[in-house]
Amino acid sequence: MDKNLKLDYKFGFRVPHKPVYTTKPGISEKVVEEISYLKEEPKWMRDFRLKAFKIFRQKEIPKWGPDLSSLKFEDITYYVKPTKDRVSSWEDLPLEIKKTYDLIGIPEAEKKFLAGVSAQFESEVVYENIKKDLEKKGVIFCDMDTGLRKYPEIVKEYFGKLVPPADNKFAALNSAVWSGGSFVFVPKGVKLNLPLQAYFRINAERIGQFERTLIIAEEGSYVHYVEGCLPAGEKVSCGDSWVNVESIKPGDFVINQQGKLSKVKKVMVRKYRGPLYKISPISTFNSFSLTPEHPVLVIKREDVLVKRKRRKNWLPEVDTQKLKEKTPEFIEVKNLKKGDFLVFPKIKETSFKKSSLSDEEIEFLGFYTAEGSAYYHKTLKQYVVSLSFSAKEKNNIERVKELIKRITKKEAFLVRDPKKHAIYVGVYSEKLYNLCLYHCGKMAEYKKLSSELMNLPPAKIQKFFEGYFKGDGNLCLKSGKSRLYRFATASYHLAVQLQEILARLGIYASIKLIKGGKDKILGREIQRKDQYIVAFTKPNKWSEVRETKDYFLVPIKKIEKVHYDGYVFNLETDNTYLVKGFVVHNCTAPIYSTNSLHAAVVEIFVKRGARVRYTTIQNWSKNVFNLVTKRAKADEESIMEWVDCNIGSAVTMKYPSVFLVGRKSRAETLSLSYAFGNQIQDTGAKMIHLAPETSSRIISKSVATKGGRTSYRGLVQVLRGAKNSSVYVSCDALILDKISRSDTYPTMKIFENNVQIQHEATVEKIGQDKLFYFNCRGIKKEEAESLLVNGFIQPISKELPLEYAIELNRLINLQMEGTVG
Amino acid sequence: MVYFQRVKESKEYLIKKRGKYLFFLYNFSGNLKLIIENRNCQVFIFGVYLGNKKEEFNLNTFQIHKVGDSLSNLLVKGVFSDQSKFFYQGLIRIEKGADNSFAYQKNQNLVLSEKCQVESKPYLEILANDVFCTHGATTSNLDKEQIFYLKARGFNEKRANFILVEGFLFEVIKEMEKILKKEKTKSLYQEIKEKLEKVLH
Repeated sequence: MDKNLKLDYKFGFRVPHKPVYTTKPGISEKVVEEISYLKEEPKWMRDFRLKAFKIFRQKEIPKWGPDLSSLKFEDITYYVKPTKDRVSSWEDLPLEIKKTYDLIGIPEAEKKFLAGVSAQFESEVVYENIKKDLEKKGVIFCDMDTGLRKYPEIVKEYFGKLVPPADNKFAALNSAVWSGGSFVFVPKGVKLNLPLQAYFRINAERIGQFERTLIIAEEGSYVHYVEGCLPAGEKVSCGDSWVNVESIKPGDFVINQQGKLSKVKKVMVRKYRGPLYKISPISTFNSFSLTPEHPVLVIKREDVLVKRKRRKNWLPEVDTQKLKEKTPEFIEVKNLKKGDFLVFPKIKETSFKKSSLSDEEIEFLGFYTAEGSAYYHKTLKQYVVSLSFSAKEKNNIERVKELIKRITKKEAFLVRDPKKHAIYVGVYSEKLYNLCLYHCGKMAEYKKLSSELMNLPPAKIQKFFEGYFKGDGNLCLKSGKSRLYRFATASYHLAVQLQEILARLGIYASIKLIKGGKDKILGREIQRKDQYIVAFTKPNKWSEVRETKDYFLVPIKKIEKVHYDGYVFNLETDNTYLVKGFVVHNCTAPIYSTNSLHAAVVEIFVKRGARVRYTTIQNWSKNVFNLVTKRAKADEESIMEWVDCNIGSAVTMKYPSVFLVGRKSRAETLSLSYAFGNQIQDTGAKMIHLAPETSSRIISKSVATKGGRTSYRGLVQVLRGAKNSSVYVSCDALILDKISRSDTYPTMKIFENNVQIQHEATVEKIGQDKLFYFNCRGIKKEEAESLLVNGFIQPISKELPLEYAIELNRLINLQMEGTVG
Repeated sequence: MVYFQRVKESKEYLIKKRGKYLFFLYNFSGNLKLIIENRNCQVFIFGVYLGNKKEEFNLNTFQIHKVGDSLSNLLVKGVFSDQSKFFYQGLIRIEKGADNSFAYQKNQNLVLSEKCQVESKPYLEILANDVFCTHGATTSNLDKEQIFYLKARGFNEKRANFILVEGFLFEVIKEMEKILKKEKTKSLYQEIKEKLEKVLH
């Protein structure tokens, strides 16, 4: 099997795109000049870039903080121009780019309370939509390149003044090769009640994103700018399956294509609008839906045809020998056709567990699963197990009586119900009650087999079927030797489990769902529940299904395309997982062979009495180095607020800073970081107090889990003359398991005496007393932990725009479930 | 029994025996490294800094927990006037597996003159999850309302300042008295008080 399947296949979903112009990878003076030339920039900007490039060369990579040695500057493409011209309406966008945005769900976001969308696709803003009222108010909201072209005086006055190229290596790099980003100018006294938003995303491999944002808020104005990097993470850039994976948690096991267990590393969820492909194999119940790009393990029918004339209304015939020898391949769902073969692996439990169950017990459990009920008789104070049979089933009744006697050493009692033509065989036995409940559950719809039962060796499971078949089964004699065996059950789980067991016995069973409703049995009206019919034939297998040593090949009967709008899910496992029994590939975020770099610079000028809030929600894919320089200057009586949420990326180093240069200015940074797996979130804030009566506040919350590392790195500096200033810093960290790490590196430099400086930090795990409190009120541990983490970050998430806050909570809930050990 | 040590030179202490340890720093410049290698150790670090004229102090402390079930508690208080400077860097490091560690770090500074400079870097590096660590640092001048309160009750400005600074600083001694016998702290008390009068003129 192993050599038969291509396991080295790595799939990442990425919209193929054809950039109009790309610079060669690597950076040199020539590249910088080229970028400037292509953008038709004024001379001062070209000189600025070149100067910055010289500084970039001289500066060294910071020696403190996370390890950046795997960053290769020569492998990065510094400029990609995706479309020839900027477009102003959605319809005019090139199809591929539109598709990416469709997947991200932008049109939907746009419909919602967005004032204007300026979406960044690969280094350049390709789509901008500024609402009329923004224009009326005199607000400028465009991409940085347009800003430079249209308003050169304003740009020249402010550009690079707050973050000079010499500030650090990455600021210098950005200054040399920047493209895209936003330019926002809010005139005097204008207050914008709706947030301005921009979406970012790195698409092409090894492309750096070097956007440059400049925000100028004139006197007395107010603006809230939202930079959402939500889509770039795995939530979006992959085709997903959505089949009942809601209930899967990281750490659970799913079965991969070899039929072995594979651990789920992550469950990803995203909003999706667009077509879904519904694939129905020969067993219609096993149909499943996937997004068009999701790869599925198949053999194409056209590859294994026989050279024979096609018969009327028949699919082209296949050569069984060829089919068996052919190696299945991963193919995107959208390229599948009716008649292609899906791979249905036989589930292999490498070792059958030893079971304490005797043959009698197993057979009885078979009967019980089919016909039994277990309950506690309140008046008699007795545990009862009873099985109902039709009065005609004499053999079965006798057999069950015998089994009960052998297992419990007690005589079974019979109860007749002439109205229903039924006989109940029952016994008072707590032992038997517990046995049945543990292995099979109770209530017809909820019956489910225990893993012990599922993993019985084939010889033993045969016993189970003997019992079960006598109860729920029916045999249909077909022409020749072939017999059709059918089981009917109301339990969804049971149907799937039976299919799995049968697959292990070398039998491919199909499942059909019969919808419930009113029905009549022997003249009685009953309300029939949904029934699952599990069927297989013996000795001949389903004629169209082929079997190899390790898997069945099941032809596709029908492919439907349905429109879907909602959440889709995907799992990250080692390689593949099964959806309704069939192999689909696990698709993670775009897989780039090298690490990408995001080095942005944001400069914000907050004039007298103005207020600016800058919100970032960053969820880059897990190979992006996110090294951003953000700085704001706050004039007299102004307010500057940073809300900074870091969830994605491999390494984030980001310390939004505020220079409080005007009297009574105020600044606040709310920082949230979530490090999962190998991520390093090195975040914090800088507050430089230069004027009297200034105040600043830093609230940092971090969560480290599954080996993640969060660091708070902050600087508070109160310079001489900043009298009566006050600073409050609070850092709280949660560490959820033993392998994660959290650091706090605050620095306070105080040169003034009439000041109030406070710093506090705590590091802890989730309090046992809090969990206990929840447990007492009937809330499970996992749920309580999610609630506590969400409560922990709430001071920050409540500051986010609603849809982001919801998304954030959802994301953390998903990652949280079952992660706390 | 409490192990008491007045730290006068940079040194690395390996804490191997269970018990209580108390390290006292008075205007000490240098490195103090405490490595806890056994369970059930309680390590206290108390520091008092009083700076005037052009005095400069440079303190680095390390509280390294290699093994869990131990406690370390640092309290450093400083009062600075004239052109004195204080640079403090403290690190709490909880190594992997040192569960059930308790580590506290508190640095409070009073800055009495405009020309003072105070730098405080209380660092945490936590590699275990079942821990409780906090650190706090404050830097401020005397509370004007408290001075007003004392003045209203007949104390002159100088005396009011003295009472407040003394109260601020001797919290450290009081904490020590919870662990040590009073006789031991008496001499320290005198020593600090003499200097305090100089600092406050």
